[in-house]
Amino acid sequence: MQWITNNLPYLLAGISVGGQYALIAIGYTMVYGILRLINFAHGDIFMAAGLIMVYASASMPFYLSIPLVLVLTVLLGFAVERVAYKPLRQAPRMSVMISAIGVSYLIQNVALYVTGGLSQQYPNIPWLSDTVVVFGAMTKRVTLITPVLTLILIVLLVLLINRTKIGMGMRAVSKDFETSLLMGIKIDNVISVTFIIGSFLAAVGSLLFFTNYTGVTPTVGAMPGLKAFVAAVFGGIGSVPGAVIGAFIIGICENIIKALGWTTFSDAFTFALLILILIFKPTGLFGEKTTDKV
Amino acid sequence: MAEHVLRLENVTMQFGGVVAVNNLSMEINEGEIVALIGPNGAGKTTAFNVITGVYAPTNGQVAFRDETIVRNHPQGKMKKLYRGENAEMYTAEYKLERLEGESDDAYAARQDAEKARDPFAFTSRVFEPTPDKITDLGMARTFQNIRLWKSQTVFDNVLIAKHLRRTSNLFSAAFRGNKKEENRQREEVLELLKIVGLEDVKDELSTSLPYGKQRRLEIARALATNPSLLLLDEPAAGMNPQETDELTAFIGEIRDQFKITILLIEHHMNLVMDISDRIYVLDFGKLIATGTPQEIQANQKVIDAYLGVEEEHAEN
Amino acid sequence: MIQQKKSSKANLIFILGLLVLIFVLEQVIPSSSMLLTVIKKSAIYALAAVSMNLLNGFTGLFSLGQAGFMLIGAYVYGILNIPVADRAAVYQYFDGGVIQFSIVDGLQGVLGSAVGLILGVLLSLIIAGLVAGVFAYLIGLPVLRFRGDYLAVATLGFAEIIRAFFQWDVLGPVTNGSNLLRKFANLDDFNIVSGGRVAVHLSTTVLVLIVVACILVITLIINSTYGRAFKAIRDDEVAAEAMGINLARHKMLSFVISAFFAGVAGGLLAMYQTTVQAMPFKTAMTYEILLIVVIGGIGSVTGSCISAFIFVGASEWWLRFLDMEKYNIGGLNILRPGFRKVVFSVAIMIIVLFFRKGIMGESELNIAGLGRWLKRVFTKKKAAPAAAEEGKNHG
Repeated sequence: MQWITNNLPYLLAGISVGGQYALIAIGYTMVYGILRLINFAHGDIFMAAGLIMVYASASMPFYLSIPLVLVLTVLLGFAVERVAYKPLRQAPRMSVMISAIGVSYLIQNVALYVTGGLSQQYPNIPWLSDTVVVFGAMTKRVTLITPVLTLILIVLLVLLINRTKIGMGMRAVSKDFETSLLMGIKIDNVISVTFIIGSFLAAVGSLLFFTNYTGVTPTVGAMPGLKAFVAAVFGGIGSVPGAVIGAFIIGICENIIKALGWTTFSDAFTFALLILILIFKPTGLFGEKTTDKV
Repeated sequence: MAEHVLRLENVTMQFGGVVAVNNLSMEINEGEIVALIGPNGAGKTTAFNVITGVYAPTNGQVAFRDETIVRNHPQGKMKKLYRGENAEMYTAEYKLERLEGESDDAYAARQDAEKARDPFAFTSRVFEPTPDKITDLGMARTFQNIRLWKSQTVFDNVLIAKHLRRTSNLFSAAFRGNKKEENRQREEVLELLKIVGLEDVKDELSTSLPYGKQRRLEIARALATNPSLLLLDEPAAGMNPQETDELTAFIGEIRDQFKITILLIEHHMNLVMDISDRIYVLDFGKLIATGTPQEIQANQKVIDAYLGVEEEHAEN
Repeated sequence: MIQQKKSSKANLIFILGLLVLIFVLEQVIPSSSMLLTVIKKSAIYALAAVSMNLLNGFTGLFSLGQAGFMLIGAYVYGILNIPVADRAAVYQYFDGGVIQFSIVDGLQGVLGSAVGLILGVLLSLIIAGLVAGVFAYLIGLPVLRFRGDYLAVATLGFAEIIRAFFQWDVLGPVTNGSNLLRKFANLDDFNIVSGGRVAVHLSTTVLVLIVVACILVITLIINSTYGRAFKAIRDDEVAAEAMGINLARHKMLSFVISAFFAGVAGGLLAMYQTTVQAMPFKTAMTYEILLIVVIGGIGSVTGSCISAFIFVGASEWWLRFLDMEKYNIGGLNILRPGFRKVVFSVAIMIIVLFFRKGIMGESELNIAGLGRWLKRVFTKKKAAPAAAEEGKNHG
């Protein structure tokens, strides 16, 4: 029992962080599935959502600020796609990736300017940040809410992808970009919706993530972003359930490593995992194999 | 035994459940021009890709100048999935079939003969060289969908192919210790461009050339690797009749001038019938006929494969 | 051919002229001047950018590991050159560390202070590059098989792993954990001092000289048969392999060469900063170097050099005023710390989106060519009717 009380917080934290990574990872995996682009700016959009919350909650009550954060983050994601990726639709993939890195650099610098480089105190969202006791272990309620909320959102997303017309468009575009274009699918709309969904989930993720971590700095999004990307690769890039499972595995492993006292390597572990996957199963858990035609 | 330049033995290539090339065996002799023909999707380019190392075959082996260079048998997941023939032929489990009333001695003698013919017989040895190793042995190819180096000039496209035959290392190359070699290579490239008639456009970007000249450049580039066997994948694709005639003559000239052997895939029947010494015909991955152009033209199976058989029409 | 020789001669003369100019500048303007700082830092970034360009621009391998290799170079240089007497102070948390020699100090003891310094620094930089190269080789074994964007993330990941290792306190006796390395031979040691005052300033000139030498070597490699093979891999991997270019070997070669020079750049950065710590060698540093490459033109060595100067100059100096509140006009409070970087990143985005070829595209700055071009521009007026005539004929 003592052992459980000692280690349960790590496991709970792992599941919770995993859920937050999952919400970010979906944005990566969907964009990659459709545009074959690693959206390096996605982690920064997640950070921006955190900052917006900091400033919004300072001047309005939570029932206004939370929806505002969701709306503004979605707008940001939409704008990034329209301004930085859409003009490069015909350009080589390397150019788009560089543009994504440029956007990441820009968002971080704007954040630096706005915050003056100081870590911003994340507001205590009532109810979410209340302390609860589970099996004798103290934790915040958000830790318990995260996995539940994540699963609900993912079920909704999977329904959207499989049951709606726009979802069918997404599936078609991710299978074959060119042919979808010829078949009259409005690719730009599909891509925009993808970015909107990705940013929305990243915003929800940021609400949950920062409630546990309190401080928002301009570069805080980079690491969770990269980890979420690794989760997406782990699950098989392009696959939503794969990304979610990958994210939970990474979140839990990372916290186990922290529990073992190897905190220095908790980030490095993620990348080691990435490299192992790419060596032994480059298509990830649920990815589809593609072959180049000669 | 006469030496074959290239010999395919029971080559099968299966992608997932699809058998693209099924138990293909063929031989090419010194100095021949051999054509591999067949309807679209018959597996010609796949066979090419197996020969040049782009794909490792699922089963079978390829020998170049009687030396086994590519060899494989169904492994891993393919073991269960494999739908071709001779599944065990290239493994240690393989045994010769006993002829009726054959004595033990005769059987052993036959087994020894097989071992003498193929030193890797009755073993599970696998050879999967990368394409560059195969090019190094003396085979060079062109591509169905032209693959020139786009940002390079015509001259550099051919010069880069000379890289394979360098003797310099990184240091001697960087610090110009290889000046002699470099100059010799440049002269050879110029010579080669003269032969293929691209000397006047040598400083232009490869992609700025008209289609026909791009194909010639690809051939020149392949020749720059000093091959003894040249593999041409649809060299006349997209050419008009006049260009095709020119190319036909050109291929013959190359064979005589460079004393090389040529294997080509082609759809233009005039070209094939004009220059080929022998023809292999593939349909649905299987060899359906082989022989001289005259024999192939008269072969009912080939005609059926190209035109479709009456029954099939009725069914459809 | 003859023209080529002439133009490379002109280029060499130009580079020599540049070195002389920097030497003279260094003597006449104060050593704390912003111009010298920018020259130094941009020279180091130019080398890092050119080494990245070799990989990304000339071989077509999109790698984001540059900061990691620079970190290795910086640490190796630092670790090898802390004087034995100072080790106890530097490695105060690790009992003076395990390494108890200093290359520069050791050589100076044998060869005298000037020769010892020069040879020691060169030797240390080469070792720094070699160690980075060895790491690159080990990383390259698994990573170089990955396709395009996976390679980018994997190299980025390795750079982060490297950073974690160098900060790990178990390795502290060698790396000093997350503490500063300092007191090793730096650029100011090259200044010739007499009577307590600096008689001849050499710190900038020496740095630029080393960078120029390295970039020349990279250029020689790019123009050799190996460089042509790299470009073939970039243009079409399948065709390159079919023409007998061993992909694994050549990609590895390019990767290791790039890491070697990134390591040297890291060593130079250590000399310039006089201290080394793992923290700044983050992904952001790789991104900055990548952006320099993009602005200069992916596939242009001279482009990377020019762009490094502009990038460092703009971010460290010319745009400084954007950070200063005193320049605000009319009660607007836009200018304050951080605004410079915002303007800067917007400018970068404009280049990335609308001037994708960068300053130079894939071509190189050629002094003889530049001269011919200038001549044409200046004689344009006189030649205008003739040119019009020519145009008609062509049309």
